[in-house]
Amino acid sequence: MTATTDTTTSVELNLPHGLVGFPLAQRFRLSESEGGLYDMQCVDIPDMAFVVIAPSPFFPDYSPVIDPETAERLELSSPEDALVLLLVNLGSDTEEPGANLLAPVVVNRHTKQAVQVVLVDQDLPLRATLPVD
Amino acid sequence: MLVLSRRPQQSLLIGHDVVVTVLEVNGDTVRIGIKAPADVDIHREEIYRDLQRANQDSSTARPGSAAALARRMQSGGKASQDSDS
Repeated sequence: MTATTDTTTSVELNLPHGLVGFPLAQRFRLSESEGGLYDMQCVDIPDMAFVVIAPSPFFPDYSPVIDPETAERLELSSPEDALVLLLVNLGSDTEEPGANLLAPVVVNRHTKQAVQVVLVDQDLPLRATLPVD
Repeated sequence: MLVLSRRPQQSLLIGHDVVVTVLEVNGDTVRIGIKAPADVDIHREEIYRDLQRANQDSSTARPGSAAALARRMQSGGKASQDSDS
């Protein structure tokens, strides 16, 4: 009798090291929403879920440099292999939402393996304001 | 906490395969080299703590949060026409 009509496509991401500070948060279900936004639900920790964005519509100048060790770990052979996702802090009624540009989740599009990469020395903000009213 | 003294170019081992080397001491700054297997993450502690907190603060989304935020952001562009958002 389950008549759920789930038309959104979702993929499962695998972060073998988890998120920074959350080593057990390793598997996530990524579902495309609207306006370049995605829901990212942690499979391992039911209460943990994120909104993530692809950077380009919101931060067109964002061009993070991935270090060779990380690229090798993710088996990225070209920048086109990588999908970059930014974790969004939803903010509140009094606080604007912000995106974490300092530590994006970098995904290998082909293998769905991912790492939260810390981009030290690239002068990137932990919280960049997203434009809302 | 284990405390020990090292001179520049001297190292210590953590476990079997993590080597920490003091490269240079310059005033109040110490340059440290770390050799570790690729699967060992190395962080500056204060950045790790900041990121842990940021991840925690961002982790409270619910199903539909992305759609709700998308609408909130779209309405931002038309705010002058829509006083009810």
